[in-house]
Amino acid sequence: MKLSTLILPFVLVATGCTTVAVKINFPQVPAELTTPCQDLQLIESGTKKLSQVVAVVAKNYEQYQECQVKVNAWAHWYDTQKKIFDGIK
Amino acid sequence: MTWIIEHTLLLLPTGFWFAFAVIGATIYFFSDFVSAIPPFVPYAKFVKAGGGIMLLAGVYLSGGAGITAEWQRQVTEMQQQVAIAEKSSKDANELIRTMLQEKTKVIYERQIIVQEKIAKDSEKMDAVCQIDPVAIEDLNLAAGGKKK
Repeated sequence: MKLSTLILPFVLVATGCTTVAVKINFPQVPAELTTPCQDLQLIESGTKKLSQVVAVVAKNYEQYQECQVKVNAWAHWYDTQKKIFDGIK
Repeated sequence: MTWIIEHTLLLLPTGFWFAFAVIGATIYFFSDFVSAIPPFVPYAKFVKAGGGIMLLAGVYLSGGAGITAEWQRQVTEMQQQVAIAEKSSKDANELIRTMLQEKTKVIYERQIIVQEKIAKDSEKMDAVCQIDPVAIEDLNLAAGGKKK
């Protein structure tokens, strides 16, 4: 069989081939969310003053609150991005 | 080779194959008349078959072109949706970043006030309470440190 006789059937069959390329990029996370939460601060051993203990405890509360805000922001980020992603039909 | 054929087929307007089929049908159904036209006389026996092939190929490729056009329309629509989604995603990120910065600023500012207040009240606190070293050890343990 000559190659030329194969061209027409090949062309006819090739019309059924369709390449669809729609790419969606994974959403970028704000850099502020990717920094890890810090360890809690420890009180220096030998400390006898209550004020120094309270100061460290208050600092640790601050670190917790920072981390809480970050975790809540992560959840908010996920919900928002999921809604946007689900909106694509 | 394949891509040249595909590209050529995509370049043709959708109506081309329909016109091709109509011409094929005309040749097929009026083959007796066409065969009588002087330039086609030597090819009289091929005219009807040729017209039939043109009709079939035209109908098939017209359908294929229609499907391709529909696919392309859907792809364009999807690309537009993706572009809108990516913009919404960036806007949402900006909003989250602003919210995070504002909340963190409030926490820092409150901490400055708290530390100043502790410093101010330290004399009062330290006058009435002496901390036993075991209390420090226990607190550090709770904070994730090791008990010494």
